[in-house]
Amino acid sequence: MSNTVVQATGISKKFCRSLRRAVSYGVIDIGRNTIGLSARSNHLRPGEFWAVDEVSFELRRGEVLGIVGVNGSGKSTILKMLNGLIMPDRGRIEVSGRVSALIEVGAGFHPMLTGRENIYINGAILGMPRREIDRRFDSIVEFSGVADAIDTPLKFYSSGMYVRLGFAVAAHLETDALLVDEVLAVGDAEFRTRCYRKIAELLHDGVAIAFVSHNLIDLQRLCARSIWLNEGQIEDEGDTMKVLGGYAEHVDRITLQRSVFENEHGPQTYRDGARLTAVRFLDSQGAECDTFCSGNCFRVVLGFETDQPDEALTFTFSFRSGDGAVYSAYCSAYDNFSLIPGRRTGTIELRIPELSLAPGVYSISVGIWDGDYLAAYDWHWDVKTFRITSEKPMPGRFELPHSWAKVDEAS
Amino acid sequence: MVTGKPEHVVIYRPDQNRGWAPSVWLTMAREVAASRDLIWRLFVRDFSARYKQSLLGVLWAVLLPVCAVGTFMLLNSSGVLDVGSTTTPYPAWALLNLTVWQVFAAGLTATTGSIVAGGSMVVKINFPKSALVMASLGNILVETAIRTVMIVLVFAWYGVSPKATAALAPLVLIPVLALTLGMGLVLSLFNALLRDVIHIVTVGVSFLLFVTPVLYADPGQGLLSRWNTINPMAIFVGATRDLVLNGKLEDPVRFLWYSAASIVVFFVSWRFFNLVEPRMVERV
Repeated sequence: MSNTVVQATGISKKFCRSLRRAVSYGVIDIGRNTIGLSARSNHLRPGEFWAVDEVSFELRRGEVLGIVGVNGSGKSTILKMLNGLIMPDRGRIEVSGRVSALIEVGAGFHPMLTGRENIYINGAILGMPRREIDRRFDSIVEFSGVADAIDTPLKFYSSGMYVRLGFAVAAHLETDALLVDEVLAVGDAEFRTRCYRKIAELLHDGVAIAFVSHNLIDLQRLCARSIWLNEGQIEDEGDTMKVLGGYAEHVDRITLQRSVFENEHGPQTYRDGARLTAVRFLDSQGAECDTFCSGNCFRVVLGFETDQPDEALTFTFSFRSGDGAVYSAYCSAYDNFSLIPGRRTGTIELRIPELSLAPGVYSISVGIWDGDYLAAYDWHWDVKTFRITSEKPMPGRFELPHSWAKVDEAS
Repeated sequence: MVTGKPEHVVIYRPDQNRGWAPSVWLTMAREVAASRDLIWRLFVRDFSARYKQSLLGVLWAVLLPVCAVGTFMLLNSSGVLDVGSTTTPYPAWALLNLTVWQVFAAGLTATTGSIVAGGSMVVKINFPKSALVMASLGNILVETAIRTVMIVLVFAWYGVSPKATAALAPLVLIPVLALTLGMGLVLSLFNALLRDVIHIVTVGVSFLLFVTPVLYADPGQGLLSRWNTINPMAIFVGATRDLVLNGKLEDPVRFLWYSAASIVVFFVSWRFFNLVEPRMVERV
């Protein structure tokens, strides 16, 4: 038995955003296929775009392949093609064995019927022969944890019981490859643990799994290899840690960019008197840069102008990650740093000797206030972004100064 | 969980499913054979769900035609309309016609709505969608069986004795079912794209009942009569009546031609369904 269950070579799928065109193209394609001609699907017609573009990968036995990407990047389309639900427009998929999909839990369930009857219906829809269901029935019921209610109509089930029963059937499919699309998102903690255990069991039995999720923690736990899809193309593939690092950074960047442009507060001047004129990041050598290695020195330099050189000024600085969390904020007044510029223009620097943040993209917000820190002159929200990289994995959000030591037990 | 069977390799690529070569028919036949379990399960599901919350249950299969025939008898006796002259007592005659008609009428409505009734699993799970369409005919067959019992009782009540050829009457159901399933396969896909289709079918079927000699006898002249020489359901209903009551087909050649045409409709529609199915999933 070969190690590869699914081999996708250069697969592509095109879609059309206009429904009217999609229908007329559909009629043409079906018409051509009906009379035995090729639908000539390898070129784009007006209004069409590649939802999946030249993607190649393989699913191997006993291995989970993680698939990440923002919404609309083609993840579900790929699963549908692997499942044989829709056909690729270019490329080919070679499937050795049975492929099952864990995409819709509890397909075909009817609320009026009992759990027992529904197991048979759902099993049949998922492609289990009757004998296979008979054989695995007890195991399904046990896994679902709804044994007491198995002869009760489904309408009396809680939503949790409903999902558990659906998952139990799907988890007992005799299959060579399993496609999992965001289903673990539904259950409670206990159910998720059960799912992880089941997946580990399936892997042990040599099933190949494709796992689509937005939950990076799940992906890190389950997948050795991952692919990152961006606008239908593979942006990066390989070791999950590496791929997810790049993906997380990309997501942060999009989120921050969006907030820079869409922020309703915007860069704004509250009142005349003083203005920020420049924001620069410097490394420990004093060279301007916007990428820092975690744990290194980080310096931010603010240029300003003031109309009253003899009045004191207060500066504020904060940075936040793509998810919007403010990590740290500093105010010169709180640190007892009072500045009377003496000139109409000036520059100040904030220095953080060890910026031990997790890899990702961060944005900074800066402000200039009066000496009493009561009224703002000028304030820029998300004015500039910088990037943190790391040589070692950093699973948390930041790192505190720390050390390890062996403790000799005094016996 | 690895199946011990020798591996069969399936390949998905563009333009794989096209044309009319024998190989595609083989694939389609295999698919239907493999979905026997599924068709049965879906039928049992719909059947038991339908009657679980119902007091009269399967008796509804009898009540519907009885009410229709009763209404026409009332209209006829009050002189509002004329159901024409029938060789057999009208209730027995009309119930026989209506039973054949309902296979087509109820069957077409059920099959047309079947894919939409399947819900989101249609676009999310890979199973032969034709199973949904075929399973939806199951209930029609059960109802027909119940109505056949009713017809036997009504015939006995009126003292009508059917001819020996009545034993052949169920064969007429073959072209009726082929036509219904064929049209249903195509219409169910259209209905998935455009929900108007089911309404058109519902309206169309009730309109067709008025212009088909089911509840009244063919007047034998005029536009309606000419139309009924080409109306397949008039021909199939007529053939059933001939076999049960007259002992011979009035126009066997026409009946055979229309039967053959219905079978062709079924096969063409089946192939069409198979071609369109994956493209429909993309667009719904």
